[in-house]
Amino acid sequence: MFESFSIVVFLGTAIRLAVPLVIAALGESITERSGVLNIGIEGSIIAGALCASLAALEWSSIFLGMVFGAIGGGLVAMVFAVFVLGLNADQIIAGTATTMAGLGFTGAIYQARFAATGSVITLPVLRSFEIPYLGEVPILGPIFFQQSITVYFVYLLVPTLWYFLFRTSWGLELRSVGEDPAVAEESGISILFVRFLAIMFGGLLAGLAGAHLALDSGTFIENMSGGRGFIAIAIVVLGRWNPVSIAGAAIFFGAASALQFLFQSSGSDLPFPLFLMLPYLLTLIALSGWFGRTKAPRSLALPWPSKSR
Amino acid sequence: MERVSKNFGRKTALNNVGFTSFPGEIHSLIGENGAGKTTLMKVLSGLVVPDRGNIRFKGKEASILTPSDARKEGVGMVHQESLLIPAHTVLENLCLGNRFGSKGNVLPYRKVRIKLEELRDKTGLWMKEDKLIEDLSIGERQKVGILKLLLRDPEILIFDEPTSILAPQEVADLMSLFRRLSRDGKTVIFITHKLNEVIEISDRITVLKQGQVVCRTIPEETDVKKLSKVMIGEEVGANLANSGPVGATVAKLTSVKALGVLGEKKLMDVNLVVRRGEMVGIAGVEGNGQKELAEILSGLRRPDGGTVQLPREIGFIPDDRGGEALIGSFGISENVALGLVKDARFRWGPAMLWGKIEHYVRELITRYGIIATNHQQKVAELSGGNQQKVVLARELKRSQDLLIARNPTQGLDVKATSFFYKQMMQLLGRDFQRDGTEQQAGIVLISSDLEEILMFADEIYVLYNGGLLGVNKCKASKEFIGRLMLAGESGRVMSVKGDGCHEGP
Repeated sequence: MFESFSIVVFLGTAIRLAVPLVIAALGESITERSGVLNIGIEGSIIAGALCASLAALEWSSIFLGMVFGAIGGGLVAMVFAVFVLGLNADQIIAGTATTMAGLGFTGAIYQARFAATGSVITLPVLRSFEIPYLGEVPILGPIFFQQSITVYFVYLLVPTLWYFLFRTSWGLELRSVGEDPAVAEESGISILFVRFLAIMFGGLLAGLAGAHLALDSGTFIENMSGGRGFIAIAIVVLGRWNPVSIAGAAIFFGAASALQFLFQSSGSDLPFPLFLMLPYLLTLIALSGWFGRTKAPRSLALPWPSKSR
Repeated sequence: MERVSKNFGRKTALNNVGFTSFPGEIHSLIGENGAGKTTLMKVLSGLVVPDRGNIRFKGKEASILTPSDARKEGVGMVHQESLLIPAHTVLENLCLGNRFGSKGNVLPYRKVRIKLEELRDKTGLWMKEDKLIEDLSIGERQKVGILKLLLRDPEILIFDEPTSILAPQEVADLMSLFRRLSRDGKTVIFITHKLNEVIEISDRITVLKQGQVVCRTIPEETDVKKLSKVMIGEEVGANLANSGPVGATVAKLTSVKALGVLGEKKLMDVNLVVRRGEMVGIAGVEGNGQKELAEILSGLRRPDGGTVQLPREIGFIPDDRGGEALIGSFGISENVALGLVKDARFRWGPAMLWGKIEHYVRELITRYGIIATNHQQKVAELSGGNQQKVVLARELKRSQDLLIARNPTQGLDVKATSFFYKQMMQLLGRDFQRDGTEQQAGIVLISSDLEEILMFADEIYVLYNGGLLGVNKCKASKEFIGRLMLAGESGRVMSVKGDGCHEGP
């Protein structure tokens, strides 16, 4: 049914589809390592997509689109941070509200700005380019090194974050805040400041993920984030809060979507949404703790200062 | 420290307390539970901000509002409940909050390893730095806490009840560490309940009672009796019956095995019989299978091999009162009620009779001397020793057939301890004021406090590396059992014959 090169195309597509998921999931993992569960990143993603579209349309620049996309995502995360850190609101409720507000607000702006004209937005599109030498390696080259700039960004981001988390004192402080804020505070760390930075970082990356969505497809559509914020949260769990495994988990989710497209286009009778289910099944299995001992940060989603004191 | 005061809610924790310490001295701070010892030291280390009062270092006034302020002044504290992150390695915990003089933000692992080796050569203190804290026993965690403090090289070192979880040899090691530190010109502040230790090691002694200093003295001018009188206001040391009639078997373990999460052996071939009216003492260093054994005996856990016979009414006093026994955000009443849900006297159909429970809890508060504003105060707001009293009050009531107690008197003051011992004697049916018709219970006392076990237990076992060794009570000396507890740590094979004791129950 498939030609010989299509496995290469398939894996390349898997990586491309995984990009927004990896970026958002890496950001969320940093937020969660600080003990904050931000289920509002869906809101940051859609805000990022809209801001990127507006900026790219205004200046016809992909770069500025990316920058403003990240800023948009960061702003939404800041709202979440104000509620969660400033007002000590419940993280789950604040996150849900952030998602709903993000989706609604972007929809409203889109309606006000574009719907009247009735035309589809056309944006400058992210282009793939080949990395010299590496791109020429057979099989691996086309899969990994003939991609867009965001993919290469992820290649740099994963090891950087790993080093940050496990080899720097900042990373240690971040993880300590997520494990036991009382201990971290005793060590002279400001819990709220660390959590604020972690939430903002998660928001910026989620915004960037949204920018990739808009600029990769070359248009903005309402609700185009399509639940990727929640998928990213599942990926963080499957990747056990470790940047390297998160990248692997995201590619798995990307592959599942690519498989779905493949079956859809080949006109097969298989119920293709089944493949979309697979990664979630694996996430549930991962949650059961069969893989290794890494557990969620112990203070995940708990308020600080804790209310029982 | 001068005129330090602190209130928690309506409760006065410290009232005009003055405390002075000099370089090169070992200063013991003693007092009952809730007397304010820990709070006073938390003020000094910046964890609690006082309502009034000031602190001076070397004559200069200092404002200590946060732990980092205290650290800058050279104050460090080893806490009763260790401030370590279980999911992180020893090395990561040592690096938290200490940059070891390196300027960048890369973790200075190599530097720390070198410093650790220096410390080992100097003090003999050592811990495998790549282990996860959650895999360490409580005693080992305390060592990590001490290492963490020593690496910071502070001028003033505060130890909050460090000896309550240690074996005799480990206590001796700690005492020699104290002496070494004071020889180096450091100030060691030692919070404890154990008056023998105080007399033995202190240069000076300060006694707190209900948030006030009631006595400042030196060991040459006092003794254990005088101190306990000052602390409590009365002499303790009631004569407790040491043996009594023994009844039917109430619990029996036959070749019981237990496995850890990773399939490692936690208990191997454990045989144990507990009879009514009998107290079985199980000594051992924490982390040798105590947790597993206690959980199996209390029916919380099924063994991975062997058979278990247990009675219906079992009281269980776990080791980790904050984690397993109490819900911190609940009040005292609610926590006690958790143990009464099956008790018909406190129920009417599905409804709990809160009025009756309240009355009962008030009675417990007076009987056990729990220091609290009222019966509804949140358990998390109580001091460690008072929390333990709440657990005891609840569990003793449930122990009609069997009581499993792990380090039950850890963190309890002399008065509460002796009250608890009396209660245990009552459970065993050795209380002569009663008519003798009441049912006797069996007790398993799992403790790292060897003296406690030697004093009360009818049968003594040592739990080492998951195996249970029986010890002949009449012949075993404290030193011999202490060595049995630590056998693996020194790597030596025990010579059992030398001490005239036989192995096996």
